[in-house]
Amino acid sequence: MARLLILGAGIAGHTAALHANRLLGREHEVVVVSPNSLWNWIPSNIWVGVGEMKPEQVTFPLKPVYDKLGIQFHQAKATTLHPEGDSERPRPYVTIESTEPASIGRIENIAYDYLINATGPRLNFEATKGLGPAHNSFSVCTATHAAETSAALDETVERMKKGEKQTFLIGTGHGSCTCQGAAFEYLFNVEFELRRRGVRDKARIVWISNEPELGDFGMGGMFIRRGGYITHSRIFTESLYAERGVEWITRAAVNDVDRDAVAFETLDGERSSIQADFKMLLPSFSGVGLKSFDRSGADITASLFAPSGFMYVDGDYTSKPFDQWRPSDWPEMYQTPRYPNIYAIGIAFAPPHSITRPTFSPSGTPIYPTPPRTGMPTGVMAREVAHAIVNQILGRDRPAKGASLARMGAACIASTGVSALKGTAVSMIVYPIVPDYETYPETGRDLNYTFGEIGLAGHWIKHLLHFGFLYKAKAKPFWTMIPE
Amino acid sequence: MEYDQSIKQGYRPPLPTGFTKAIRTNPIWQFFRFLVINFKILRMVRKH
Repeated sequence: MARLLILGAGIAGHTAALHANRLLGREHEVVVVSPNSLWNWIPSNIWVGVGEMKPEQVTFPLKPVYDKLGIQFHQAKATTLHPEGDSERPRPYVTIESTEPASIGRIENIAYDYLINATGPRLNFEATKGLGPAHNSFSVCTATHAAETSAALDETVERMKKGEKQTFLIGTGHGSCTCQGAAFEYLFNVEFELRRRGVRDKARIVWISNEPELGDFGMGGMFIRRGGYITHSRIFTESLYAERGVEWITRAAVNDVDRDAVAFETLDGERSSIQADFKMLLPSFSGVGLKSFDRSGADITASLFAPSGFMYVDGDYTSKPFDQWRPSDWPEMYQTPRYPNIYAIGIAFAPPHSITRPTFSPSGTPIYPTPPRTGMPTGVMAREVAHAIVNQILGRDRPAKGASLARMGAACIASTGVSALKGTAVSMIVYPIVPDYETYPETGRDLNYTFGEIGLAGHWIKHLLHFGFLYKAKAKPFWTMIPE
Repeated sequence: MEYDQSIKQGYRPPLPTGFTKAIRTNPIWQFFRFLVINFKILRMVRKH
């Protein structure tokens, strides 16, 4: 009997657990360790953040689902990884610390045959002074954060109804942020809500981002065919901002969030500040800080994890200029080179480099997005890694399919307002996610598959995805029919 | 220094016409687009 241990139960870890459990049956063990008792459909957090949904509508308890499926679940956080075991324990194992209220702090060792690191990010609010719900800004990264943000939005609207003018600053709170799409969605949902609540005329809304241009989204933007032209996403994104009366600041690294103002540095070296009453700024991400030790007890963390805390996998991490980056640099199987029975998926794997060209201010501050690796690509890599591990456990001689971001497309439905008949969303499809200028020399992507459009249909699709993925995550009948 | 010039570029982005804005929320047209976008997504998913 083999044991697959999965660290993390977000979109990556949970998807891998469902597929592995389905394929392995009861003869083998699937064990999931997650510090959270709830599963969260994170793409809908933005709707919690504007009061259109409650946290209970975007989360559900994991344990009943795992009990139903026969998956072992530990509500705990992994603290150390021992891929060679130690002098007393010959098998590799992970040390976990319980986060369950009844046994909080209890330490336990779990041995494994195969390990998937799907721990996701640590929300690195500390990297920016004054950033985060504990200080001077709001977040929609978790359902709890989003609910707090919604309450603050309600208070701000009440002040506006009394005649006060308010400035909203929404975007990224650090020069190395990713997930611009989530902030983009929140921006336009706030703008839509303010119009719906009749106070839009009292609001100045400003977007701030580390993107080189609007429409970059951490993937270097995209080109689409439209109106007889091949046009960059910047044009359409700027058009939406102008149409909705939203100002923008790009190429900016926020470095200090005060109670009433936000200071930032731009790529040209200028240091500025902007007064803001309501601030929703995303943090940068880092790894969760898992330490690793070899059999002798020596610290081998640096050989398994990048300085950012994300895990090295089968990508090409050689330092080289932007023009020499190749699609083949990107990992296929998400397998660590040193320990082939360890995989890292979702945000937990270290990308070999950014997708957007890296840029630095004159003082050396990096100001560019790190690659997005959430949502659909995460689900696909989780499924493929689960298949690869199952094939090894069952001794099947099947070639691994792989899930390189340079050979995979992604669909992103970005909400720009919630309403059954007046809502809209931007529907974006890119193929491949990492531009491939060897195969598609002009734009880096296949224009037959790359697409963008705004409209009510996108809102319907976003709503459909919300219910579809919650249904799938609960492993209800025929859940495998819903693609990642 | 107070940041007072958030739109630094010297041109105005293209704006949608009234017709374009109207069809974005026209239920009949959008139902058709719903089918088209879903088809495009499924086609892309099958490509992997």
